[in-house]
Amino acid sequence: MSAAALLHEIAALLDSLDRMGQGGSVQLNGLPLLPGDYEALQEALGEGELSAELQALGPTQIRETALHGVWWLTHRNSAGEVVAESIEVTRCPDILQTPAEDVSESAQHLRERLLIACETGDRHG
Amino acid sequence: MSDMDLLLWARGPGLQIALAIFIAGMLLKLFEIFSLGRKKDLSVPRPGNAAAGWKTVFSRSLPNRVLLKRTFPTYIMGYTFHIGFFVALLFFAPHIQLFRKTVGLGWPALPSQLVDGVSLLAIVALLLMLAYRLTHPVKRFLSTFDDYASWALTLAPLLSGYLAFHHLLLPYTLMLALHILSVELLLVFMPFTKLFHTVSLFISRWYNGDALGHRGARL
Amino acid sequence: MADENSLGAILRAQGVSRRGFLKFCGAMAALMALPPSMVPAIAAALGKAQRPSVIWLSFQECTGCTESLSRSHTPTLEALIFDAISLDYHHTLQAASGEAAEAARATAMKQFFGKYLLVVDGSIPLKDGGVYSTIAGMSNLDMLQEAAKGAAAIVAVGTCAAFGGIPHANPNPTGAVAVSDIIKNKPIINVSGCPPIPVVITGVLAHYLTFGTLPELDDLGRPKAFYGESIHDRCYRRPFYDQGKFAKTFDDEGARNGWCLFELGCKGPTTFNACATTKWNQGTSFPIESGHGCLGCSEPNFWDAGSFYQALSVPITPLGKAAAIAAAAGIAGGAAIAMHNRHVKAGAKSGHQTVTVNDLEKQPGEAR
Repeated sequence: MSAAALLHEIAALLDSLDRMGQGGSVQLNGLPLLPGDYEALQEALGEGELSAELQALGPTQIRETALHGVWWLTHRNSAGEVVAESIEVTRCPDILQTPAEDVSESAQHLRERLLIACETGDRHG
Repeated sequence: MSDMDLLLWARGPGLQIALAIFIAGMLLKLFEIFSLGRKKDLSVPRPGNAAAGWKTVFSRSLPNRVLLKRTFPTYIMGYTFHIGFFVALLFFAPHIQLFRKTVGLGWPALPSQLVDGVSLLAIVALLLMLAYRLTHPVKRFLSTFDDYASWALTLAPLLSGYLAFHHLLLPYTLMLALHILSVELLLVFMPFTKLFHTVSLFISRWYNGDALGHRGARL
Repeated sequence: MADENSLGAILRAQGVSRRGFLKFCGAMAALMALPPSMVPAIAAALGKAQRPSVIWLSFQECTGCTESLSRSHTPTLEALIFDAISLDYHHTLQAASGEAAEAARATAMKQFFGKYLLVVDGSIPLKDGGVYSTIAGMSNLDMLQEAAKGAAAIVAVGTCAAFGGIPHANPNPTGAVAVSDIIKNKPIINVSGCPPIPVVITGVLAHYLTFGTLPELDDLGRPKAFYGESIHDRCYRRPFYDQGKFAKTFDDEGARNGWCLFELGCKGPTTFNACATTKWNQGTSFPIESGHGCLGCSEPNFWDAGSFYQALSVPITPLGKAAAIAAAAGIAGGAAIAMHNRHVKAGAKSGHQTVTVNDLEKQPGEAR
């Protein structure tokens, strides 16, 4: 596996995303990259305008590369070690989007908070 | 028995047995040949041909002009196979390690890709030779079981070695085991088939050269 | 995540967010060498999987496998896997000792009979009734057979448990054997290596936790995801092998240029493991990258497979004696043949009847 071969695979996924709305992902850990391939891939893809950090079971960095639609995800544990790394070809990585159940829970939670605030406000005033 | 068990047997007891049979067999055959000897030629030898036997041992490695023209396919395939076989056997680095360990001698290797190409030519030559033997009516008429068996015993190490190097057909451990076993089979049968020519050809050349030189002829 | 006792529910109860859970599933996929597209399936499976009991038995071993596993981890993610399982018995890692520990084991085995995962490291000595390795007065053989009865599956961790390992090596004074030589009626996963790569151990456990099944195994019972390819097939020094550029010593020009280590005894071609891709110490390096040939430690009988510093093409037993005996036999036999031939020739010569011209003349009416 080399950086060039990976770029070809990413190109194919981008084509697929463009035409059929279906991208895909490539797992980076576990690939037999030659020394220098990792850096070559980073250089080839570059850095884009959007970067996000998730704090869950340690930090996860989600970056869009200079190529729109190509995202680089680095999952680290709380000790800072890389536990998984992947390249996702998508309009928005799954992990970035808010899970639907979380939305329902938040809606309910906020309603309850406002209700309590209302009641408290009423009592005082 | 797993692939690894087979490989370890081939690299261990298998080689001991094969080598023992090979050495004993070759010695027996050599004693047999030399003790039978040839009938003494009581005629007066033609002058100037005392070293004819020794000269012939080397001169017959070069093509004979007449036979080259008459039997060109056999010549070209024969040379291709033999040269390829010896390059593969003697100039492939892993084989040189084997010799270094067993015989105590080592020498520089050729690039593996060159050996690979030459081995492929040798295999192709062997296949073409079989085809020729089967399609040429006289050759087919003269062919015996020994001819076909010797051909198979020779092809097996070349083909299995090529497949092993390229990681083709079977998992490597098994392919390597089969390669070593095929060499052991070759060793076991060498004294008892026409493959004995590896040693006897030098003896034949000497006797024939000497006999002809005695009479003032040369071939 | 419907089931309250499922692993998914347990993670949620520990305060792991849904995104965190997704990250966990992604890491599990990476651990099991599965593609990221499998993450939804893993999430669904974890949502349903129950928290299994794991009993770890250490037999005739050096504890290297446990060290390998625990040495590489402070990370929360992998630790979660061990939180996700209920490690009910591990005599090196557990707090309890003595009779309390054995009681805990007996309880777990009874409570989860037929469902617990049995992990074994170390070989099992059989000689002299198995006295060479005992725990709490019980031989390893007896303990294994008892524990295997109620196990759903057995994971043989390390080459000792998988194939017999170093105790099994010539001359095997304790009669050491592998788990699979004793237990024949339970599914066994062999996670070989001396020690195995840590993530391979956790990957196999992760697979079992997630899917409740054994991963696809090769003909030696090893998970194909990690043992499907040889070191040689994924080695970054392969181009040098193909060209015939070999290092001759550990410090020569070739060695410093990173040439192939075949002549220095590398067993990469006949060794199946994940070292060349997954590597060691969180992907830092592996033996060949550090300049030392592969020992072949994940293969059976690797201790008896010839020197670690002699090439694969070299014989592993000495040939001198066999050759000398054969030569002696050949010469003796040959001398006998020679004498026989001389005798026959002498007999033919003495029995030869000379003829004169007169003998050759045909008499009228005489047959010849």
